[in-house]
Amino acid sequence: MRKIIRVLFLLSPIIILGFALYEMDLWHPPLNSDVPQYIDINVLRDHPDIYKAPMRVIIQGQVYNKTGDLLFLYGGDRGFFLVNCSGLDISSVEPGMDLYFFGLSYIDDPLKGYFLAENFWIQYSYSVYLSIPGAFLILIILFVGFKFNLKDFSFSRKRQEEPKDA
Amino acid sequence: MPDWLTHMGIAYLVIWSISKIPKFEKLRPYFWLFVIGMVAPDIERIIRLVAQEIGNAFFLELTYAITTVSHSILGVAIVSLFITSFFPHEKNLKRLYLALFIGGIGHLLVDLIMWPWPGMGINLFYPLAGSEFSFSFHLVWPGGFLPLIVVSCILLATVCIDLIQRNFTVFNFKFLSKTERGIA
Repeated sequence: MRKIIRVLFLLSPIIILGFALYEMDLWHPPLNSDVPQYIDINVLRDHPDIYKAPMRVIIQGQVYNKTGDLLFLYGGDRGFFLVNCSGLDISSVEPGMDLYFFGLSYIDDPLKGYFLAENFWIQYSYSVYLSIPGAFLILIILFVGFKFNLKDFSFSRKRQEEPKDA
Repeated sequence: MPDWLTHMGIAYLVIWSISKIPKFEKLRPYFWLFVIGMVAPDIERIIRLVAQEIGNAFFLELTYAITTVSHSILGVAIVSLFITSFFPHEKNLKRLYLALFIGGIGHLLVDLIMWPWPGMGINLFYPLAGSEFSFSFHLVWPGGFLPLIVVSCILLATVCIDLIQRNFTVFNFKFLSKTERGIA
């Protein structure tokens, strides 16, 4: 492989990073209001009139406290975000849990000012930690199977393929 | 969005099935590249783990954005290019890239069973992003143990089959009986 091509390939994740940085602050109005929209709580607060009921909205947040049917989610420096879960069994919900909510936004309504949850799911995120043993296995495959060469910063199976008497 | 172990398990099951077919023997050099390709789109997990532990909100947010990009056909193509650059001595780079790319597409297919992703699915055709362009079969909750348990059980069954047949085809390793060893 030519060196210049290799350098370009090595730098290719910059494209992903660029897109990711662009995505972080990106917001555009929904194209189709019939599709449930997944949005950040802060975006919902910035554009309450766009996401108001009857549009279905999905939000994610961490529970700070609960009182009866009401859940208070962490809302950063803008105060807590109120979710009304009337009609739902939230006995399994504990403070600190990450939840996804599916429902209707009434936060632009001065009389209500809450998000009415129609359904919720508790998020269990073991997957990040379960990736640690997987990462070790990958490292074994790469470093033992493909033999990492520090000199030219590459994995190579060349030496494996070389005849013993060479 | 299953963990790396589940993805690797599924990749192993795929290469195990292929290794049983003699016609595909020439694909053997690319088996483990396929496994690497299968976990490659989740490469940002390492940063997320660190960001979670140190409580850095910016990096955590960034990893979610990276996930959106890397879990697309474009993202898989780029990540596969990146990994290819670490194999400059490989004779057939196109095949190597293809093995990684197919592995990456396999990763996306596995993730499609998961829900609810942001936008209720994966933005396969990124930069077309948003809820309107999200795809998912909405079958299994991400982050749980169910996919890993199912995959582990099937994997155990393949090991049992290999033990009965005395032939670990993925590793090209045969158990020989005493008489067979004597003949050899």
